[in-house]
Amino acid sequence: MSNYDFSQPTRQALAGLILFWFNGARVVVKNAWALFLVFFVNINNERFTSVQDYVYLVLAGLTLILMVHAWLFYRYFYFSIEQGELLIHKGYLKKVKLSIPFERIQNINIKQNLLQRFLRVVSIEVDTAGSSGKELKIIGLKREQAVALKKELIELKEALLDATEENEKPSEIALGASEKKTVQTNSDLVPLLHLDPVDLIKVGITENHLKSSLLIVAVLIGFMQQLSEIFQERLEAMEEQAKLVLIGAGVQLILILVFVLLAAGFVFSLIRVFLSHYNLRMARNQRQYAISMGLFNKKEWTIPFRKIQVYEWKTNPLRDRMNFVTVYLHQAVSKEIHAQQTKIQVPGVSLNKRTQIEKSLFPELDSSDYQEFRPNAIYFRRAWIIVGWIPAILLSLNYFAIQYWAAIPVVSWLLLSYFWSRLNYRKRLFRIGRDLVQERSGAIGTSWEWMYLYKIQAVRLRRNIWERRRKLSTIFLYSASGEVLSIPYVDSAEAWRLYQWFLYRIETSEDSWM
Amino acid sequence: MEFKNDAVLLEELPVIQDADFHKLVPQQRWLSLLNATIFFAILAIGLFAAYFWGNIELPLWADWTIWGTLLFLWLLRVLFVWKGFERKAYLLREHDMVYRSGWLTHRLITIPFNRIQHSEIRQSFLGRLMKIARLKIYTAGGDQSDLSVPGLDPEKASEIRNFIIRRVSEHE
Repeated sequence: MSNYDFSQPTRQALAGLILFWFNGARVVVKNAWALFLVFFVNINNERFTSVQDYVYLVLAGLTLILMVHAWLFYRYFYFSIEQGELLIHKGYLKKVKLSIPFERIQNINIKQNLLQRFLRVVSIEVDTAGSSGKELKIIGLKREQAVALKKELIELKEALLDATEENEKPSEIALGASEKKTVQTNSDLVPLLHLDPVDLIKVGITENHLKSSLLIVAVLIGFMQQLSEIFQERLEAMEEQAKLVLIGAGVQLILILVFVLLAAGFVFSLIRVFLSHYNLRMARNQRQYAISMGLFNKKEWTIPFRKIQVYEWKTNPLRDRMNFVTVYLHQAVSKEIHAQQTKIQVPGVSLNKRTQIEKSLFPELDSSDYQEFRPNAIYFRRAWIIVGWIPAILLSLNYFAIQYWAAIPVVSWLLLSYFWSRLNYRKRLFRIGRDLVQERSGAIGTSWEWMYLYKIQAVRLRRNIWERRRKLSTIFLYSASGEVLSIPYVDSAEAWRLYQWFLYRIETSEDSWM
Repeated sequence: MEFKNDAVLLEELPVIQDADFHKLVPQQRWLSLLNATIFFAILAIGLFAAYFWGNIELPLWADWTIWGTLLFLWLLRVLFVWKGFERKAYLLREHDMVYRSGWLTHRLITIPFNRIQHSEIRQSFLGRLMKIARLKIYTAGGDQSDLSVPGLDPEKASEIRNFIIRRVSEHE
């Protein structure tokens, strides 16, 4: 039995006060960081001294207000478990009451960021699925308290589930009881996967470094733009100098720059992998996975199998050779939550572990009986036109009139895009099994997405002008995780039959998709 | 119902027939045209304002290009609205709702009743004047998989919605 009585309204840990203050301060800084920067850069500027005192005054006042806010927020934040619901009261000016009935709880995650680690508190997030649902979040709990709350909620929810299951099958009470027993013994988690630093280095080395490099460039550009709004004049002068240097050094410098960027991308990939996947552990029981990872921001999830809408694994040639893939578990999440949280990424999964995951998610998988669909060759031609020819023509319109050597990048772009489109077309495959659909895609890398038929939310059929001319269609299957599987450019008559068959399968299914 | 997993002969499945579809009310075409025109009129007014107060001195060809593009886009939009209207139609079946649209690119979306999250009827200000309503059906699959049928008679819309609500509650 836990030492906590959640039926009484409970406050968060007092250490959470600093957290609330910090969160308030973060919002202020996020919105006004440019102002702060201007202030500190000009701190010794003579024109500025007259208003300097006021600025300090405003800063002090702001700090005080934030402290009062944190205190009030802490005072007026209660949570409790009452009458089949998790209740939260919060707010001092605008009072809000949030409630989640147990049956709507999808999963409960405990997370801890760096500050929370210093303060020895964690946050607990209660997820509900469905578009009208909102997630509940309590950010300043002691770990034992959070664990106890999570345990109690899960127990109450399972008790509710068992009760309804028994109501539905009165004739099988004896069997139900024995089943419950097995479930309980099976609810102990069995470790499935653990990544040590060597595994993480392998994952980091085989990342897509080009993508990391481009990400760095994007961040730099974004940063420059924000800065340039403040330091317009100085930057313009610097830009002129930079241009002169660039033109003077020419190709050599550009090559060095590209090399530096790629190296930075490599380092960045490694750091990113270590930050987000450090000490990754994955365990499972009969119903769910438990996954934890992260160096500073430690993240923990429990994901019931039935909440996973789409199972995906990705690989690239390097990882193929080293014999591991990255697995993504796409969950059903309400629309208010950002898309990045809907999928959980588990890198460094060996072939053997992958098979284990697949067996737990798709226990009745029968690999013999698949119907395969490949896109018509026109799919390749259209892809090449869009990624190859259109940019190439636009490029040449810009440069051809000026210099003939511009043909080199244009032609190489056409060749590159030809091979890319070719690979992409060759790899595209859709398979329909007894109860599931599988989509393969990718060009250099490969990605497989699997989904149960009964998890499909809606079906769309499209015929664009290319497709209509050749009597082709594309079918889109929508999942509750936002992932969309598609069968591109298949024969219209075939697609039409499939369309109705998918609907038939969804409409006759009795399984709950979440 | 017992769920059996026998292979189904595809010929036996219920078929969506073109002839069964219901067209939208004719006022919807004019409403869409009006909406498109209002959008471009606001753009044009903004441009005019920029000319009057912004002291913009552009060469003549630039003026022509800007206004020409605006006019062209408006005409294009009108063409798409006009032709697209003929394709727009819906079909209510026993287990799902189907919506067809698209002039150049044909689209057909179906939402089974046992996957509906919620539904609503919307009426814009102009829609209220012209007695047109829009029925929206939401799934858990994101914006792309939601169904939105414009151009319904308000009474018909709530009739359909009641039918859907009844069918959805039977699945729960």
